[in-house]
Amino acid sequence: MSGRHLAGLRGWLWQRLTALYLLVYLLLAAVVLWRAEIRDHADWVALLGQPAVSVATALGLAAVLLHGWIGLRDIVIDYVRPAPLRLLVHGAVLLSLLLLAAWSGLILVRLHA
Amino acid sequence: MRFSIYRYQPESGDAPSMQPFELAVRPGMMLREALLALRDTDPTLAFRHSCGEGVCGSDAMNVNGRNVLACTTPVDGLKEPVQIRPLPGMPVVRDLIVDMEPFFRQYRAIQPYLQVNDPLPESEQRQSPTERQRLDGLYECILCGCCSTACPSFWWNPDKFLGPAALLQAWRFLADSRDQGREARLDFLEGPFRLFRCHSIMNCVEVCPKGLNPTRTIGLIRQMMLREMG
Repeated sequence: MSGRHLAGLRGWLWQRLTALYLLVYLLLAAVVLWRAEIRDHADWVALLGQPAVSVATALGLAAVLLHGWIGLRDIVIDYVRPAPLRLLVHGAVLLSLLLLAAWSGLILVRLHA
Repeated sequence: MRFSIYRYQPESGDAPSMQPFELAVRPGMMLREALLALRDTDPTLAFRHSCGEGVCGSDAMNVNGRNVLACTTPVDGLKEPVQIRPLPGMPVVRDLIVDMEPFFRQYRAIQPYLQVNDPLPESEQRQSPTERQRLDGLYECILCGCCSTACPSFWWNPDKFLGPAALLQAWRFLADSRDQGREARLDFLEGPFRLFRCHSIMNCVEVCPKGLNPTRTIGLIRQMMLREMG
């Protein structure tokens, strides 16, 4: 393949890679949360403040957002036929996901401030 | 046996409707024979058919919600009234006859013929038994359209998504040891529409009257793309 246009294959591949990461992350998160004794906000901050947990969670958030973007893009491409409306919905979805990314990123950064 | 058949006569100006029919069927009768008998009673009933043995792929239609070949579908066991409609998602020309042009346009798009850049040999281009075996489950496709017209992705984007039949044929040539057009073929299939609208719903596998598996071949194309990407 010439590698000029990889919109289809890249999207498909990233959707699967992020799904795999999320599977591992969620299984580990379930174990960590089961073993950790979390009673209040301070316990949450202490847990998420650990570098490994923080990095894994940041990657998890990125994976959720990327996975969500590809999935929603697929749905929009399937069902929204008029090109201008499709572009508009794509834009709205992208903006929402970027806002979620910024918000969740801010929460993680504040833990280390 | 009671039938309910989709009728559309464009010159009448009437909207399409379902028309009830009744027929005394005999044991072992195939649906194509039943339709021929019904047409004797109503010569305006239009449907395509030819070989009568599941080879030409002309008489694909939707029976009780499932795409089938009428000639290989026994009437025994069909739920009554047997609802017979044209293939879903295709423009109806008349009654059960659809315009197959959107289907064949996508088939033509994958360039369904060997592409050889080297000078052609004096005699035949030989294949080993193993190379030939790779074409099993691919060359048997009769292009009836049952699979593509059962595919929701093809319903939504028939002009952009190639559909399972054309993609099975795309793999048939990608898998052929004699073909030298791999890079161009894979480049053509790239992008969000032509191949990647497939969401592995597998209606195509469910309805294929020849028992072929287009979903598997789409997966094989993706694997080939991944290998070529690296």
